[in-house]
Amino acid sequence: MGYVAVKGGADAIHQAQELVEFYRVRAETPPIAVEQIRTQLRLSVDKVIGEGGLYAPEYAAIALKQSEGEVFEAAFILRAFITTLERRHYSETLDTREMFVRRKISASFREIPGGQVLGPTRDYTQRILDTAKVDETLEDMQAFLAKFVSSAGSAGIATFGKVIDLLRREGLLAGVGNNEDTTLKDITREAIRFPAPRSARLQMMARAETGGLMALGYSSLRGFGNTHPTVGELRYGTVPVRVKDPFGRVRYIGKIEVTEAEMVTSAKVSKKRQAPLYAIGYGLCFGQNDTKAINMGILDRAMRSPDGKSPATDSEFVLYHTEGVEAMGFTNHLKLPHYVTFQAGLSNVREAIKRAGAQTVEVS
Amino acid sequence: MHKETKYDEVFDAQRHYRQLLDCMARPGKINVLPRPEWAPPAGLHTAGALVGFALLNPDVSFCVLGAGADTLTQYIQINTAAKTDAVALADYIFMDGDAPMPVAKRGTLPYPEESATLVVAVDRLSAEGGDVAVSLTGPGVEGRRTFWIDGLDIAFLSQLRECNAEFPLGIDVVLTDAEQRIACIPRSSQIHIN
Amino acid sequence: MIENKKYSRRYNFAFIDESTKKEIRRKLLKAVAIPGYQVPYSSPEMPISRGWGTGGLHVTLAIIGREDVFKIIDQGSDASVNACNLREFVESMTGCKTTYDTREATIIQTRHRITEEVLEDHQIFVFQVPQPEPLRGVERYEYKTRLMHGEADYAKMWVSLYESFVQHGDIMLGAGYPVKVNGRYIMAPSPIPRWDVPNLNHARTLYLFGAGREKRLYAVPPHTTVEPLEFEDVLFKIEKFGLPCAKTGYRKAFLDELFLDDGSKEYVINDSNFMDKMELGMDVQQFVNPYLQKIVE
Repeated sequence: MGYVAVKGGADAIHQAQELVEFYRVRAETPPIAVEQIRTQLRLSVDKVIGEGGLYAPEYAAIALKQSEGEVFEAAFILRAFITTLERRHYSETLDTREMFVRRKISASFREIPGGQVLGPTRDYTQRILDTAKVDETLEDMQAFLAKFVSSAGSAGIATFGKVIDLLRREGLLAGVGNNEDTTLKDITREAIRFPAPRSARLQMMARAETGGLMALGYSSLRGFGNTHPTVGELRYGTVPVRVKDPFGRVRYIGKIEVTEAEMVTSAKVSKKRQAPLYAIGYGLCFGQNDTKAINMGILDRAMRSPDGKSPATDSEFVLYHTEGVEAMGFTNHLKLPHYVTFQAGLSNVREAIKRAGAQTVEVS
Repeated sequence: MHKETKYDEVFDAQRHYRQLLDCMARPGKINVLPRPEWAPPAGLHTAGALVGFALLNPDVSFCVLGAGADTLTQYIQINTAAKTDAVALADYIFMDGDAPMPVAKRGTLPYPEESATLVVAVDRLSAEGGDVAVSLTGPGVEGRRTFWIDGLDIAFLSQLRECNAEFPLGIDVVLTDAEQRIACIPRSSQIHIN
Repeated sequence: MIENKKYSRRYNFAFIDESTKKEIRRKLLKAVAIPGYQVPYSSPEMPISRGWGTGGLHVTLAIIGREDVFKIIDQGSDASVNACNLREFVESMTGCKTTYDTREATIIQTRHRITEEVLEDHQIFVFQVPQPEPLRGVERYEYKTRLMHGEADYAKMWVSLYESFVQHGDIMLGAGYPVKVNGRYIMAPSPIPRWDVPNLNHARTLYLFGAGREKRLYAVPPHTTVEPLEFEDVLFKIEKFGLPCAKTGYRKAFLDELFLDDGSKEYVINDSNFMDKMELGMDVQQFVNPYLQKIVE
């Protein structure tokens, strides 16, 4: 071609990339080790693997470092990373009865088999800003660890039965068995269709954005919905993961941390004199994230009984709008140039204003 | 029987797919795929194998009709890892041009794409002349395009026309011949037989 | 030496894994066989934000080969920052030649414009689509719009066009004007201006549409009837600009309205490659359609 088009776009975006890096390192503070993020910002990492939908805490820590702590960005980076990976297996169904429990509580019963185990939680701490953290040294951490470990008992690792098994044993739990409950979909392999089976709804929620789920779950408790459940059981711990090898033998490949919530509500009663059984709203997510699991459970139930007016009961509303990567992308896309789109509407608007008898000021 | 090693799953698949896309977008247009160093077992044209390799994988199902079906089914499975299914449910059906139209899935009104694609082996495709003249009008065709087919049961075409009479429901057809030629008849085409 | 795969940074050709490419390729074939119908697909995440062109990229990367020449524009411009980012991505993942020249390209990806220069048989034109569902404005639920398309029940759409006319004296749709394809499906052509809509009709090139966030693919084959929705007495019109291009005096191209520092206004040709060619007095071959032909030079 006989011309060189001088275009500034590429330069502009490279400058922007340089500026971002500048803002990240300008203070010349010591570089944060990825290991430090993974271990000391554990709950941010858990949020990122949960919303990215990839159990890879170390990569999540890299993504958090790369994105200067922006959780939406980090989850997005992890989600995009999945696309480069080959998918080889579906795991065997996890049985959380096999969980090595770190935390196990129930609000429905005062005492449950194995007891109420608070585990690692800030629920009952006071949220007072701890300025002592400013001067924390490695020696402080080690001193605490030495004291804590030596005073800890050495009971064996136990697994526990579930509260809902108790309900089931007593004939209190509604059954599941219709198509809605038994149809298995993989929403990473096909676009969700509506009406969506429960497996699709739970999968979408499992990697949904925590804040979005929280807002809608909250709305259901405040009258914008019909679901106000009790925590039947909330667990956090590690569960073994297994896959089938090419010869059909089941093999253990490692363990992952999950949070699981089983929320107890009343099942919908449709026939006269039908027994008012209990039903479970289920939530499961990677890492430790009580908020997400609980709200998943609330919304799982809420979406089963659409009332035609509450967003929390509307599957399309809940599932499309809590998908964090899509929501962040599209709301932010408004920043992209839209001048042609705008121009296309302008001539219509100018003509319509003329027809309506108003005046436009023509600048020539 | 073994998996063909002289086939590039990245670049051959892409190149052949572009030829196929061109044919589906321009019904009746004949494209020629390159001839590889290998050939599939009897009953499947090399062009048909290349179409299969470009499109099939474990996420879809296929079915082979006609003589040598068992051998060809094994061959396609080894090379693509696609699942097999009954003819009424299969996503891709490999068959011979002298057989009648099978009863394959035509999709549903909300999801018409959930329908079969037939890969039909005929003797010869030509833009110049042959046994059966097929004229197509509709999307992808400027005015009218005529091409000729040897080795196609003429009843197949009227059955295809009937099958695709309730657009958007229907079946899409890929024709292959022994000399690497391919041509397509999507359900959007109006078929005129001479 | 054993390659440390954990931190490996080698990517498959065109980034997307072969399995997903096959899925997109299969679905594009069905889309071409059912012009204007939206085929759902898995739409995996890309390193580009949702709403910023992932669907267009899925289509491009699923079909592109080493010999292709790639052009990408946003609002008609090759220089637009998002187009630059996507161009760099495609280039780094494929090693393909890239170009600003519409005639030289074999695959053109676009956000919200069709090129002024006519597209040929050997080219493929890929649209980035934000909202693939033309009925979404009149029906919020996907399960309902899918049924409406299945049964060709488009009454709600026509009613809303009529209401717009009653309210404002005209159909007030600007960019993304709905069209009927092959006499059957109402389709969202992506937010292209009305100026471009007639160039979808009986074109020589294959038009492919990718909506990544909404997870839909659709197509308009060449030589296919694409008609903007209109009433017998309220006809489709393209945009009118009061003035010609300030730099070239040309009237028959879509123009950008620019407000200058002194508050005055001028119009310039929007399509950056077309503008370059016009400014240099080079030979151009524009689309021809009845609406353009009515414009007096």
